[in-house]
Amino acid sequence: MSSITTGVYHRSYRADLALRHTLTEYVRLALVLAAVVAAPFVASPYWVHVLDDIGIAVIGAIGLNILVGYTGQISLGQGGFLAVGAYSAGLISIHSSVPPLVGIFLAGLVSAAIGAFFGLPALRLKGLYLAIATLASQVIIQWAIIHLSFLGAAEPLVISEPSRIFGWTPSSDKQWYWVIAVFAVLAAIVATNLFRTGVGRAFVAIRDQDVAAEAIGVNTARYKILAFALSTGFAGVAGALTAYWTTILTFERFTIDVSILYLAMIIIGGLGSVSGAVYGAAFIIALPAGLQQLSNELHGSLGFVQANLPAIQQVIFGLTIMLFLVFEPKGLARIWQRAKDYFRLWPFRY
Amino acid sequence: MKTRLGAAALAALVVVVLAGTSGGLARSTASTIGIGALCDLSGPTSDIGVSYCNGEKGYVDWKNRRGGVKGHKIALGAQDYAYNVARAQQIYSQISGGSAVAIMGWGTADTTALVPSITKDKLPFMSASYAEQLTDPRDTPYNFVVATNYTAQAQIAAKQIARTSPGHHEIAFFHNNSAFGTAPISGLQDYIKAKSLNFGFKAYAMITGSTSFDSQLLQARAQGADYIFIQNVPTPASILAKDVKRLNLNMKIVCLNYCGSEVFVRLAGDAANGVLAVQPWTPVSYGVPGDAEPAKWLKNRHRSLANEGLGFLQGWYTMAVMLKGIEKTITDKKDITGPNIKTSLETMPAFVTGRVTSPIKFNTKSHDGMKGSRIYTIKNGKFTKTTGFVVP
Repeated sequence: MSSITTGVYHRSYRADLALRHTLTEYVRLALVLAAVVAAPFVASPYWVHVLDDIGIAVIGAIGLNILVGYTGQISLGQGGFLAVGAYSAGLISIHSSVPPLVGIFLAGLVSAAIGAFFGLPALRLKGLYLAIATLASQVIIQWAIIHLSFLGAAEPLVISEPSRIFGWTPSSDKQWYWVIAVFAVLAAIVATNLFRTGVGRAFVAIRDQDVAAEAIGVNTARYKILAFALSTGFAGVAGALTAYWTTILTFERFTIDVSILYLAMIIIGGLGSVSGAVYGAAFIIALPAGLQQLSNELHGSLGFVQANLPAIQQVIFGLTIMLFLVFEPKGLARIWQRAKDYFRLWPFRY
Repeated sequence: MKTRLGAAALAALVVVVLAGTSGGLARSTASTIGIGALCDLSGPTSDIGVSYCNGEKGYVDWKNRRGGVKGHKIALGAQDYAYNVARAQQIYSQISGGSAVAIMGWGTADTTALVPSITKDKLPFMSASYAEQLTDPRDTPYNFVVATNYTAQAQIAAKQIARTSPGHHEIAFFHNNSAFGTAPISGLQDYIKAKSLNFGFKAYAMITGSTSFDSQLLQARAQGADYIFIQNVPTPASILAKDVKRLNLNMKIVCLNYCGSEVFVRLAGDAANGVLAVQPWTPVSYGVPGDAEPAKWLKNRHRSLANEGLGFLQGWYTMAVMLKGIEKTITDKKDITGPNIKTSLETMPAFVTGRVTSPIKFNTKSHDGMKGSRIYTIKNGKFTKTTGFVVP
């Protein structure tokens, strides 16, 4: 199924099924893991907080990529499903003594169930029509949070009970980093393996040509709904982590802007790629945070820049996204692939 | 070659950004006191957020030019968060990671979202959010609300209507689609019930970015609304006022706090005529003694208070209250820490703003700085005082 480097031979099914095949890939993985472990020790508190945001965005973006990138179904409601997960976790924590890890799992299930319901229009609609239908889910969920009294009716939902995970109570951004990082890594592993199963291949078949997929025996209705459930389940987990981490929820954190931002993450990162979702989430969250930090560095040194900072930040943010789409429509995942190829083949061009 | 140079430049930039010295941040040293500030300079409430932030910066500059607070200069690190809760939390982690001793905020959503953090870090926090939920020190010990809270403002409006026009009224409550907008709703409904007012009530969300509110206004007409309360910033409020005039609806508009500013009058034009404004801050056009120093400071920079508007005064005096608390801490010979500043704010005498507001006073049981509000009527583009200070 997958292309491999010339000269690498698989002599067993086990070797064929391995996620990584070469020593270079294992070294790269070790370096990434070392960076993940070292990050909270070397980064400032600000960047640790940003990393926490990135970790949560990674989970949500991987979920959205399952639906959009792999199954070819569009969704403009990811922000709403983050809210479903967050508020479910909040209510579970407030009204029961369920441990946070179980709460996160249950919130994912609730979000998946509601996501499957809102995915029903996908059985009849495609493309822009489906986008508008999923936009409705965002609006309905937001309306429910603002108006339903058991969801707070626009009042903030406060989780006052400290979150205990296996006897440990994470409270700082640095401590939550480890919890979020574990979930983000798990999300990446689950998603990567999903597309090595029959279910994942059915998703890809639907994306590539749903009529042909139906003809070869793929139950498109079932798999489309399943894709919605999985995607929103990931969003629910991301939302639940946000709830336990921040301990206070207001609906402004889950508006339509957030849904659009998640779409931007997977487009910039690379549609149909788990690593692309990771790169995209990191890029979209870190870019404004970096620009903010840069503006602090320039404080007082450039009068014009300082006076027009908000506008300049927005222009740079917009321009960077635009340039990415123009020069590398396949996203950051493709840029990374090209960089790897460059070093692998060096000094030759191909 | 060019690609490599570009990559090297980008890498250098990343290194500078990640490992930088954060020159624009609020850092306390032996001779300076760091204060962080979250501003909306580019988000949906920036129409008034910019002038509010300018007011905060202006007061700090004014104070520093007079030697600072008891010889300590103030280092204000003001940053734009574009009314984005997640960004506000990121910036907060940057501020609290430094050595700021207090924080100035802006919106209700971010102020609320930061409550657990500021409570844990023990950092006094004053924002432009006057949500009632932030006034009880048992729940939010480090939040201080300088002006009459939103709920009280809405209740004052209801009281005034009941007093001046007895009988049944239908209130259409138009609000920003955010925690700021919805903050006074339940408190107003409870008040109507508790005072047995003969009022009908229905809330209408004003979606950010809307260019017309015709559909909601038609629903309000079907409701039989004769009063429209607006809990929103000036730009959407002015669109709503123009829509009411264009549709020739017989509904009287009552602006609460942020809606009732000079920006609203300027944007709404004729449609602002006859609008009632519940406003704890004295409009700039009144020229009260408390306007003199901010006006002079602006004039020296070729700017005017008339152009900056009420938001500037709000920012100016909110910062003044915070610095007064810090000044008392130094006078009392205590360390300049969050808990000591909190105690100072709770025990200092009422802060007098030169009639820009009623005196601002906190205590250990309430962080609600003011209790009452004046009501104005906008006539021919000018605010005319209709009542003195009214309490709910």
